[in-house]
Amino acid sequence: MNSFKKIIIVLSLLMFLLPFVACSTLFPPPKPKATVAVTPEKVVLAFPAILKVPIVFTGTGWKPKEMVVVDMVLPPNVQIQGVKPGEDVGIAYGEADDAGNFKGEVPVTAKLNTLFRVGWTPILSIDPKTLNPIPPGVYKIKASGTDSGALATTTVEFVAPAPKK
Amino acid sequence: MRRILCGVIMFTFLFAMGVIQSDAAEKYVTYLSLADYTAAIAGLNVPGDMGTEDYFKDLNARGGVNGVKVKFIGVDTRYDVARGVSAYKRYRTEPKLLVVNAIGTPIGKAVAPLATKDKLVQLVPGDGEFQANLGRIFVWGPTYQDAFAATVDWLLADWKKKGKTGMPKLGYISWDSAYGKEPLRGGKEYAEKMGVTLAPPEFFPAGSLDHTVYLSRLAKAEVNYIFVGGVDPTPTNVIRDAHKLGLTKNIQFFCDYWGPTSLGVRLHPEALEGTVIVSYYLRGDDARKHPLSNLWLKYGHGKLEDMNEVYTIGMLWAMTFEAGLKIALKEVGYKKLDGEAMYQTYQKLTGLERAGLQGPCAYSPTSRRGSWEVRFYQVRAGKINSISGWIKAPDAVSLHKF
Repeated sequence: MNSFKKIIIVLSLLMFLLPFVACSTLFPPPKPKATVAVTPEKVVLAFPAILKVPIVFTGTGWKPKEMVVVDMVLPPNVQIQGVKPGEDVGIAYGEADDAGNFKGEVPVTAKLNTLFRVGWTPILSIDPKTLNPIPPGVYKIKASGTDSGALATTTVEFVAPAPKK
Repeated sequence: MRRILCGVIMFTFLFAMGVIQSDAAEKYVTYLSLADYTAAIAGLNVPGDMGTEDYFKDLNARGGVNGVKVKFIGVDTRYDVARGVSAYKRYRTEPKLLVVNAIGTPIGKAVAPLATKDKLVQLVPGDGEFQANLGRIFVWGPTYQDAFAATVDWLLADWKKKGKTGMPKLGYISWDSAYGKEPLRGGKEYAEKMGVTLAPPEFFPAGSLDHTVYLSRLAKAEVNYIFVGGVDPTPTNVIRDAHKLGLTKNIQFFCDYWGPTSLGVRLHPEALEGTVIVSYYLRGDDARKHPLSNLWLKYGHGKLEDMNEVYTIGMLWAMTFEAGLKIALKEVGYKKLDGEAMYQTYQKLTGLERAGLQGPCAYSPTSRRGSWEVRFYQVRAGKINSISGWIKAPDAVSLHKF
């Protein structure tokens, strides 16, 4: 009787667990986590040299074909023309490929408008007198997927150029 | 019994309050402008959006469209595509966002796939690409290539009028950008079709201070006419350099929609003398004498003579939006009103008259052109004078393979 009871208990347990085991195969594998990285991680705020230095964001785990927007989080003491206090500023974007990888480079206009906070003359040229680089430091970067809503973060460090000898 | 009665009274009171409150809540829709207020094209964009904002203010003051008011959101992207895309992402979820105006060809192209996915209406300056590949992207007026083709027709008539024999040779100079190249995507084919030889086009980096190298090459190619692109004051400065080289004596210069406004002409009247401008909106005194320009005065922007004509383009965007909203509200009501309803409506605006500020609206299920008509203006004695009525522009988009 005792052994019969044991068998029944084991069988009941199995009956209870089997649906969970079976159903687990129906669930898709967990989505890969969206990532973002920046190359180089340290950028010298030297003008005009920065215009020739590609600042590239890459990432994995994004929804295929979605647009990934890269924003820089501004510390409260950093003001940028056209950006309201508390808002992040867009510095790059890129479309994820079929495998969910994306690549987006900081365009020259973002280097000028955001990193160097320049003023423009009315003929689409920068006014060199207005060059005003952002304070050196580590800035938080937020990449977000426009379809998936996925969010990934990293940091980029901006450093002051070495003083001229 | 008393308790039940009290309960019924309380329920009725709360229900009535709810109904009253839901009716009293302001109904509004949103219009988003991805603009440039402080950078390269601010000179034209600021007055443009002033026109839009003033028109909406006036409309809202009159009670909106059937009680629905318009919320205008203008974002300063500084003509920066990364900021444009980021700003779009930030504002795409605004309640009842119906139309996004991407001011600037590069931002327009970058945002187009997103606005399409979100089923919104998007406006762009003049890309023929969006007429060739029909979608949710609508052009402000005739496409850039159509305007270029209309200019080819104008110069052929001018050539004939001057009693010249043979065929004229045309030069083209503009920014080295998507905008700068757009007019030739169909415009080049149109010139060839009409027998006009096009010299190798000259593209210069935006921000160039001097254009003499490019102009000298066009002069060497012995062109009779030169079409100058760029957003003012770039075209003014190109023609200023041409004047210095003595080219304006024998070569007729043209500018597109963004060529010198009255304010630019005041700065270089001598150099710009004789320049012909092709425009889909009213210029010079035509614009300032228009009754709707009174909004400029009404909202305290100063003297009418200081009104940049681009102010009227802003009003045109708003007038088109108002007309679309009227139909959409009638067809689907406020609750169901969304970007899709507005998209369906924009395609029904064919023939819409906008107080003569622009030709009749040409949006339809098969057209994304804001209108077909252009006018020609000429700089004379420091003023922009009308030299034609509305002329239907040729279809140059269909000549190009996109």
